[in-house]
Amino acid sequence: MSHNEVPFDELMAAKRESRARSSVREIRCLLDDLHLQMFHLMEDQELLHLQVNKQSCRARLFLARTRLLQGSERTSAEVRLPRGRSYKALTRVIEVSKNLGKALKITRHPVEPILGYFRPLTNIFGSLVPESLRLASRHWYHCLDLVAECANTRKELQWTITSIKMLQSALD
Amino acid sequence: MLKSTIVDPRVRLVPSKKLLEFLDAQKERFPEVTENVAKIMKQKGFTLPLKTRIIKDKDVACKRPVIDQSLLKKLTNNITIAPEEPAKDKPDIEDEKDTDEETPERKTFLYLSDMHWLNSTLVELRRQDHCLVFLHQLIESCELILPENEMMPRNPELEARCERLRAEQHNRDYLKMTKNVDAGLKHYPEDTISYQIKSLNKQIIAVVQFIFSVAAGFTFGFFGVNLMVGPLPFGFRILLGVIVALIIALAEMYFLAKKLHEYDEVLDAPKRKQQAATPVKRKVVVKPSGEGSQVQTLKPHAD
Repeated sequence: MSHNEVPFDELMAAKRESRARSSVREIRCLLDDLHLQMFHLMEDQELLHLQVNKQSCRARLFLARTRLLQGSERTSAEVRLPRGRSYKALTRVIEVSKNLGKALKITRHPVEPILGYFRPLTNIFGSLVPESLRLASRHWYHCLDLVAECANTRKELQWTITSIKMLQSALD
Repeated sequence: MLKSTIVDPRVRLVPSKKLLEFLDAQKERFPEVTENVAKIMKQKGFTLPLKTRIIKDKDVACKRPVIDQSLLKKLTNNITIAPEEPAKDKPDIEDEKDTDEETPERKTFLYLSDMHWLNSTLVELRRQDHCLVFLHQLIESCELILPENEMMPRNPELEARCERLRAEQHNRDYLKMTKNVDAGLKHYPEDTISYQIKSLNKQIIAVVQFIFSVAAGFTFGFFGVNLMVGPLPFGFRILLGVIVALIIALAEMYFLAKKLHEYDEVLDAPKRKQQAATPVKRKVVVKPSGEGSQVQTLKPHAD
């Protein structure tokens, strides 16, 4: 038996051990980052919830004021989706793929008069629509964007928590 | 109790014994400590060395960590998580017993800035080979408290008023629904001729008013401008008259449509004897709320 083989085995074992240690170190560093990211996302989500609540309450207040002044029959229109013909929504929610999976995005399309669609009446007789109703509509628009952002933050938070669990099981 | 909005949206951590003991063991090596952590350590009876500098929360760099996605994918490639069992009430761990002894008011919390400070400090300590502890190992024993809604006691006067208004609204809706079912309304007031003629009268007046306004506008455009400016061609006068009449017609049409729709609303509600007397004007005594009081004050409002 030659003496050269023993140091080589020891060297290989030491290398394997250091690789395992550095891998565990990497996992733990990543876990630290994920935990901090999780706390950030939790706070972001709470702030977004507050904003959504604030916007929707503001919009509801404007709508209530309009109903008080103008009457409820004339202010809120009951919109029914057309049954006979196909329709295209002006505001759509689509899923786009990102690094962390799928994210929601709101797209707004202009009206295409060539295809037979017409713009809503508020744009033609815009001056006849009460100011508070237009303000409420603007707040609801912004609310929609906030809700989509909230959903995306929640998805990211879920992904972070799942990653934490997976790394912890890898350590165990 | 009324649920109010969330005042403090920050995430909080109740420091565990393990974390506090680690901080006490390594306090000599901290060049600086956040104000909150220093306060917590002082409360728990741990003294900091004099050389340690105390920094404010705003001076702590709270930059979001950048997650190495490729490394994460590589590490979690072959890992699957088993579905979790539904959460059960777990008994408190022995280490956490001391936190239960504290009253809620005296509970101390760590915030996100403190976490960032702790993380950067641990990175430095590991770099200098003083310890091999990571952030997640320290905080896994800590209790996480999420932001909660504030509870506010509701003003009894406001509550009573809201109840009364709600009852009135429900009554109105019920009367509307049972308009054609209720025996008390066998003889509809709108069936009488006088009622019909009165409403017809109002509508005819509104339409006649519209016609007169348009005619007056045309007359102004045709004759009035001619008198003011001087002789004008006949065709031009007609055009002016039509333009002025059109503007007035558009404006009048809007107000006419509004008025006619109002009549439709009035016809919907059946006329009944006023059963409930109109609310007596109550003396509103505005008591100034004490400082720090959580009760809402009601503004004087004339019903």
